This record gives sequence, C-alpha cells and structure tokens, in this order.
Amino acid sequence: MSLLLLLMGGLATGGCRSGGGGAGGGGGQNVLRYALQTRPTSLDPATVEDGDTIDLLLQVFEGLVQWNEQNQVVPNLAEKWEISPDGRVYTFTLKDNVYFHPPHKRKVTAQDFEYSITRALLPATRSGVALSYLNDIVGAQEVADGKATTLAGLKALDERRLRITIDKRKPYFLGKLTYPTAYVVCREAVEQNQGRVDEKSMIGTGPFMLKEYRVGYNVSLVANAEYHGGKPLLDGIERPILTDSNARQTAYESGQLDITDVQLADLDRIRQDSTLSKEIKQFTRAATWYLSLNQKAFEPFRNRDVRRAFAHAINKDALIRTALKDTVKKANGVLPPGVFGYDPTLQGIPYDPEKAKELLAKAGYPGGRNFPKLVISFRQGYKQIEDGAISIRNDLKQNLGIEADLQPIEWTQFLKMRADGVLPCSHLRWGADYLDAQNFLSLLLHSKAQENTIGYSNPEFDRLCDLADVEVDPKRRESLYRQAERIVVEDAPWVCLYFQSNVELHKPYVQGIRDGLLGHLPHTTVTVKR
Amino acid sequence: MVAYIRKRLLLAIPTLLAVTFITFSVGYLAPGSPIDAKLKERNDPETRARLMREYGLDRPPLVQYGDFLWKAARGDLGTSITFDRKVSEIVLQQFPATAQLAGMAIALASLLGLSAGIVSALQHNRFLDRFLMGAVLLAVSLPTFVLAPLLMLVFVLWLGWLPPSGWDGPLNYVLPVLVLGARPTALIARLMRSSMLEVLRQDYIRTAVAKGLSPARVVFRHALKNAFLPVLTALGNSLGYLLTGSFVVETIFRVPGIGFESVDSIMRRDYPVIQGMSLLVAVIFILVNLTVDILYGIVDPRVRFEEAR
Amino acid sequence: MAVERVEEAARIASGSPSREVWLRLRRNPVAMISAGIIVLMAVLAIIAPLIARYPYDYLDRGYELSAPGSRHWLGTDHLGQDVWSRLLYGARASLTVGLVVSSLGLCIGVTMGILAGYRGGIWDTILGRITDAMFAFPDLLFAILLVGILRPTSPIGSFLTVFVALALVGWPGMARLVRGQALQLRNKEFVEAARAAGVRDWRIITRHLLPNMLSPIIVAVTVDIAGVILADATLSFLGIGIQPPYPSWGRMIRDSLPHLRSEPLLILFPSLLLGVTVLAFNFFGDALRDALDPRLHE
Repeated sequence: MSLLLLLMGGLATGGCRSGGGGAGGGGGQNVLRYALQTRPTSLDPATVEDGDTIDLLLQVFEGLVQWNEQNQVVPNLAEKWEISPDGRVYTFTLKDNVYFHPPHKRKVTAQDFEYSITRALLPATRSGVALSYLNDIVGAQEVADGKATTLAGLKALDERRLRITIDKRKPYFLGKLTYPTAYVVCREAVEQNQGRVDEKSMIGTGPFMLKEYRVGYNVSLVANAEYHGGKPLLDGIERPILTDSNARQTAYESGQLDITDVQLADLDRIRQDSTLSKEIKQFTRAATWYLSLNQKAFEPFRNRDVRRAFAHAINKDALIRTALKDTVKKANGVLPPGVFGYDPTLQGIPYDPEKAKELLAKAGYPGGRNFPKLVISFRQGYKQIEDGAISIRNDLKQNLGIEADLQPIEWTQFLKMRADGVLPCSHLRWGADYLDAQNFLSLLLHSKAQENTIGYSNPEFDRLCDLADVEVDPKRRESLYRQAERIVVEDAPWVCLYFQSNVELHKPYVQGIRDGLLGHLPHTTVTVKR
Repeated sequence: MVAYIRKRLLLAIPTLLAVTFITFSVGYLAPGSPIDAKLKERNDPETRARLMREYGLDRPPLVQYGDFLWKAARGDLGTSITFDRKVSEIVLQQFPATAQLAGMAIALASLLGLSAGIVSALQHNRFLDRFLMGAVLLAVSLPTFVLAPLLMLVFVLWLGWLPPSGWDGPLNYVLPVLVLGARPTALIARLMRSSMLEVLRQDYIRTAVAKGLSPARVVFRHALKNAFLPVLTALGNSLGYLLTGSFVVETIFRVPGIGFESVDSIMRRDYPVIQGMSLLVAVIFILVNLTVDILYGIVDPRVRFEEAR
Repeated sequence: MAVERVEEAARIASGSPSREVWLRLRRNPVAMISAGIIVLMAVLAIIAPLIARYPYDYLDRGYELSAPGSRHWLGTDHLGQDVWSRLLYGARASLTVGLVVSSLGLCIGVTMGILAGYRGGIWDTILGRITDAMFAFPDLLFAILLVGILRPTSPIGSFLTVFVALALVGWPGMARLVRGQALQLRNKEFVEAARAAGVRDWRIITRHLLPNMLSPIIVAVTVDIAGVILADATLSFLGIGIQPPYPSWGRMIRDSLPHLRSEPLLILFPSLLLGVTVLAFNFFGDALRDALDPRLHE
C-alpha cells in the first residue's frame, strides 16, 4: 500500500483531498449536485430522446408552453394563445422580456420559433423524434422529407405573434409542444457552429446556462441571472456522469451528491437506516409497465381466451412486492393516474389462477399441454425489469403449466424488434409524451396505428378512439376513452402490470424540487443549504 | 534493425485490416442500429430509412467498409452516430485517462509482481512462497465487479480515506489502479516465479554460485535479466486487457476513459466509434509488442530479429 | 489473459513419464486438496437435481430474503429463490462453461498452432496475422456482438453462445503456445529422422509432436478453466451470460451485488464457491507444472 502511494505521488503532482465539495472541479455552496446516469446523447433539443438528457436540456432550453406541478399545460415563453373555433389554428403571443443567454443576449422573437421548429424537422438536423412530436403541423411531413424548407403551418405574424396550423382538431396538441423538439434555439449560435447544437452553441433562454462539459465526465450549469422568470435561487447545477448505480449510492452517502436514484434491491436497507429512511422521496410517473401479447408473432395469442388466461395468471401483487418492493401502484388498466381519461374505478382482470387454467383449457391447452414454446423478451441490463420477467415466468409455469424462456435484449436491438413486431411477448413500458389518453390508446392500440405492432384489432375500440380524439367536450371525450379502455382491458392484448414510480434520495437541505408526472420541472425554486 | 522494424510495420497492415474487417462484419451482422435508439421507442420506418440514408448506413456493406478504410487511411475516423462527435475527438479526449490508468496499473503490477515473483522463487516451496502465491491468486479469484465495490465500500464509505469517484487527483487514482492492476500483478508474479525458478536451475547460474559468487549477485546480475524476458512479452500481451478490460473499473470509479466508451458504443451499435476504438487498441497493441520485441533483442542479443514474429 | 498463462506453461520442459508425475503429485498436499475440491464441485454439479431442494427457478412466495434455516438451508434471494439449489445448478453452469470453453479453445488452438508451427510458410503467415488480429481485438466486443447476432432464445442457446464467444476469444493463446512448441520440435532429430524415413505428416503430428507437447498444454488448460469461469462472471455482469433465471455463479454474484450491504450472505456464498474453485484449478495447475518439470526435483 505504501509502495503504491509512493508510486502515485511520483506520477501525479499536487494532491489535495477532494472531500465532499468537488464533484468534477466546480461546485460552490449553493450548487445542486446529482448524477447523469448516462452520458448525454445530445445537447440538441431537436434530437434529444432519453429522459436523463431531457432533464438536463430542460434547464437550458424552453418552449412556448410547459407543464406545471398540477400537470397542466401552462404558458412559458408564450404569454397567451388563442385557438380557432375549428381547433386547427393556434395563435401564440410571446412574452416581451425573453432574451437568449449571453453572449448573444438578444430578444427572442416569433421568427426564432419559426427557425427552431423548422430546423428540428429538416433532414440535415437528423432528428429521429421531431416528426413524431411535430407531425400535426401542416407541412411537417414535406419538410422532413426534404421536399420543402419552410413549414407551411408555421408562420411568424410579427415579432411577437406566432401562428401554428395543424391538420385537424387535436385537443392534446399543446401537450406535444412541451417536448424539446419545439423549443427555441439561437439561430446565430447554431449557424456559427455549422448548424449543430452542442456545447459550443448551447444557447437557450432557460434558468441555467452551460458552464462546462467534459465529455464522459461531467456537465456544469450556472444560473442565468437575467432569466425571464427571475434569477434562479441556485448558483448552479453539477451533473457528474456516473453510470454505475452502486457508485452513485456511495457518492450520495459520502456526500458527493445531493440527490440520487435508488436501486430497489437496496431499498430494504435504506428503509431501515435511521438517516437515509428520512431522505426517501417517491415520484409517480405517467408510465405503464405491461406484458405485450403479440398476435402477429405468436399464434396462440390470437385467441382471446389465451390472452385472458395470461392476465388472470399473473400475480401482479407478488411481482410488485418482490421485484419492486411495493414502490408502485398496480395497473388495472392502460392509463396511468394523471393522464386525461384515467379511470379510478376500473377493476381490470383480477388474479385468478383457477379461472386462468379454465380459460387455457378452453382454448385447447389444458394444463399448458401443446402450448408452443414461448419467449418473453425485455430490455437487457435493468435488474427490476428482469426480476419482473422472472416473476411473470414463475406465474405462468405454476398457474398455467407454460414454461417460458426469458430473453434479455440490448436496447437498440429490442427497439428494432419491437418496431418490427417480431417479439412474441415482451415486458416493457410505455411512458407518456403528453398526459392524454390519445397518447396511449389511439397511438398504441388502434388497429391503424403505426405503433400497434402486435396485431391487436377491435373495430369498436377503433371507433371510440376516433371519436374521442377529435371530441371538443372534455366530459364526453373522457367517457369515450374510458369505454375504449374497458374494451382493450377485457381483450387483453396487454397485461397491464403497474404504473411507474421513481424512488430517489434527497438530502434534507435540498428544498424546492418541483415535480410533474413527466419528470422534475426546471430547478428554478430549488435551494441547497448545506 | 531498421529493416526489421519496417518489415514488422508492413506486417501490421494486414493485421489492422483483419481487425477492422472482423469488427465491421460482426457489427454489421448484429441486429439493431444506432438509428433505432434515436427514434425513441417509436415505430417510424420512414424516419428510420431517412436517417439510415443520412448516415450512409443504407449503402452496401462492402462500400461502407471501403469508405471507412479510405477515410481512415487519411486519418478521418468518422463521426459518432449517437453523439454526433468526431471519433478522433472522442479518442483524444478520453484516451489520456485510460492510458494514465493503464500506465499506473502496469507500473504497479511490475513493481509488486516482479518483487513477489523473485522472492517466491528464492523461497521456493517455503512459507513465504506459498503465502505470496496464495495472496496473489486470492486477489484474482474475485471478479473485478465485486472487488471494486467492496474496496469502495471499505475505503470510501466506512474508513473515509478516499474520495468516492472521479478523476481529479492522486487520491482518486488509488482504488482504480489497485483494482485494474490486480490481475497483471498476479500474472507477473507467477510468471516471474516460474521463469526465475527455471533460470536458477540453469547450468551457468549453478556454475556461478559454485564459483563462489554471492547468490544475491547472481540473481541480480544474471538470473533477473534472463527471467525478465517472458515477463516482458506477457506485459505486452496484457495491454489489450488493460485498455479495454478497464471498462468495469472506469464505470465504477468514473474514469473518463475509452474502456467504458468502447463497451457503450457496442451496446449502442455506434459503428464508427466501435471501429475507431478497435483500430486504436490494435495499433497500440502492435506498437507495444514491437517495442517489446525490440527490447527483447536488446536484452538478449541471441534473439535474432528475423525469427521473432 | 489466457495467453500469458499459456506462455508460462510453455516454459515447462516436457516428457516426464506419467507414473512419476502422478507420484510427485500425490506427495503434494496442495495438489491433492485442490483436486479434491475440483472433484467435489464436479460431483455436486452432476448430482445437483438430486440434492437441490427446489427447482432453480422456483419462487417461494412469501419467503423472500429469508435467513438460512430449515426451509431454505442457505436462505433465499429477494425473489424467494433457494440459494442452495441455485448454487448447485450454478456449479453446473460455471463448470460446464469452464470445461467446454477450454476444450474448444484447445481444439482450435492446437489445430491452428500445429498448422502454423509444423507446416510453416504461408500457413504460418496467415495464421500469424489472424492470431495477432484476435489478440489486438477487444474481447468483449466480440462476445457482446455475438450474443446480438446469435440472439439465443433458450437457456441452451445462451450456453452455446457463451461457449462460442469465449472460445473464439480464447484460442489464440493456445495457438501461440502450440506453434512455439511445434517450431522447436520440428527441428529435433527424431522428427527430422521420421520425415526423412518418409513417415506421413499426420503420423508425425500424432505420434511425435502431440505427445511431446502434452504437458505444457495440460497445464495451460487447467489454469485456463479458472480464467474462463471468471470471464463468464464478467459476461454475466454485462447481462449477456447464461440466460435468466438459470443460475451461474457469476450471475448470482451480479444479482446480489446491490444486496452487498443488506444481505452480505447472498454475495458471499457464490463468491466463495467461485473463488475456491478458481483457486483450486490454479493451484492444481501449478502443482502439475511442478510435477511435470523434472529439474525441480533433482
């Protein structure tokens, strides 16, 4: 050991002990420190796709609208808006006091939005998500295809007024604008940087500005003193990149981080720890975990009785207790609480092994006999996903006599195979993009929907979704979605398992974190008093 | 010797071609592409096709490979598809940390391994020999991913002697170097032991001792030099492990290096980065081994350069 | 890592009569204890279904994380799986992987090595380039991508994938060892005499070359098995080892890593077995080497 230290001393110069303070060079007293669990895939709001990076970009970039703690869409850079009677034309009026970060420090105009949103769609931006979020705007497809360079449905009427025209009435449209693809970027900065948004051109209007980005190591943000909503209470945010969950836990407990996620496997210990147990925070998310039963890839799933047998056979309570340590709410239906259309009275298909056996026998597989080989796929590398699958596998074996194989698949490959509709049975999640039933029911399960890759089709369900998607009256709309949800739950193309919930540890001196169902809100009100 | 070096460098070209070709074909055959993650859980075949076109991934595989070679030959390793960053930039930014880590691990391994090996050989089959070899083996019979969190728990959380993670100062280096150096240390110790044992039994050493030279003198004058040769080769060979095998260590201790980068790029199917990383590792591997062979020739002039591969 | 071990083995002189070696081994207590441990593990692995008290995939609902006791001798993990049963089945997985992969590496390595070393010429050049390339190649990349390509959907498939992946990365070390030996032996009088007498290559290889390089190969293999078992653990850490819920020691260690601080026993048991087995193979390899080297016993 002493030899080793000697050796190190020779190799490196100057060695101060970096105790609690420095998570990557920076960080004063009033700085919030929490880890990035992956390296940011992009610093460009037009292309960002993963939740961790979105959380980072939300501090720097902003859009016309934002969701709030009550999960409503509220004005952000837009002061107000009007919607035409046919629901197709949105006219936004921008705030008058919004400036880009220094060194550009220019007032944000409607033309900036025109530029930014069009840019997100242009093929040269190479965004994989822009079209998914902006496709309602008239002419979006043409721009994405490279057939047009101006977006027909997007027009700056003057410096402060922006008009967006969409293809038909969509009560959920504003929700889609909360996604970063519709955020404003600084044209000069981007053009000076060959059209790219990276650490050299990360100029937004948000409460924080980029201070330092060391690739693969950390991101430092500093407060924007001229933020239009008033200077944030923090001086800055430190995001060390720490991909190992054990290492994050150690860093938190040794005082290097102020907030961290928790490994559920470690939760029992944390709950028993006198200090840590007081620091547990739980945040529900608008996301549903489910088992998808693909009728296109696995013949027996075409039989409704087989699907219902699966739904009856899976012990969700046991899964939630063992794999998820009771941190989540059981899902009786598709829509998570907080999403427009959520039905708290829905009972769903209860756990009933006897009924399950009966249904499977009726379908021609008594005791699981002659049931073809089944493979359950899921994303590789996440313990609780795997544990969930093991629990499901056990139920199918014990209750139905079906012996399934488990197949963890790498994320990219999993996404491709899911999209191609070739996975017979997968354990996965759908997280809301915006808090509307359309984002779940019509988008994923309508027989004409592109996302419906599992071959589910029910004309009555389709009809109800079509009606609800364009319905003006919220009451009627909600009731239509609820009827549709009941149909799909009874048909069981999905076995809905639970609604996601994230467990975090927050040091007691961290105050003012605001949270919505789609994630933490920008940290404008957070204080850190160590 | 110049001719020898030239010949070796020429021979490196087919090796590099083979490495890049294997990497390319394996990467190409594995399903999934970096584009799929960009689509964010959406089934959007049109956007997918467009992006494949934008990134040139729709071209025939051999054309893509040719294009990569053509550009690589001129020093352009392409751009990461996931991160939209030049591969050369990623290498320049992240390689130093890995090199530093690997260098310190090798230094540690040589120092501890050689001394342990020599002591063991001199004390052959006595207690110290058994003890050292046992300790050395014990250190490697635990997988790295257990050893690392264990040490972290003890030294960071319980004892509080070391900072948790990062790459900012010497105290940060202690645990990663220790963990990464454990296996090479064990290897060198064992290699040195058996190599020493063999040399010590050679006739010329026996003669030297018989002639009345002090054993210590014999060890350091004659035996050490000859016993060191195979160790040198092993050092060169374990470099590959140190460079890419460091990913567990880099992940757990937050070392911004290429070990993590290369595994991550494979998971994301980020072809240009995968290619660039394997090319880099191959080049370093070849250069180091060439150096080792030249050193071999210097230490032991009996080795003719032509014979070594 | 296999390479260096192999090179270490290559340093050992060959050609002791087997009886003598056996006698020397028997006198070495470390060798005997190591062999005993290996045999014990192998027996446990073989009779696992007989002495396991639960199927390896049975979740004992309501008994999650139970302490060692009469219902579960070594307790259960967080899903209620019986640790004792899983350790036994894990022995099957880990030992099989170790043995099969080493044998595969042995076959490929010996074939390639003899071709390169004995035939020489263009064979040597081509195979030399390939081994170099394999050496210079990031091992894990291969393993990860192979799993992607082969996409195993069954436990057997995932076993095979692990075999192929680890064997493909492991053979070059053996090839180098064998090539070196073949090069040396090729110019020995007895081989040259045989060749001059018109004996066929195949006969020379099987009658003269192979028997004379057997001992370094055996030693290399013993030591290699330990390395492979550890490599499987690393694959499990990446989530690409043997398919869940089938246990291997590596997977069990990975799965209990987050319980390190709350349920240390969960990680202790598989680590202990893994460590002891790896040690046993290494010590046995060492002892074998000592026994095979006559000069050490003068």
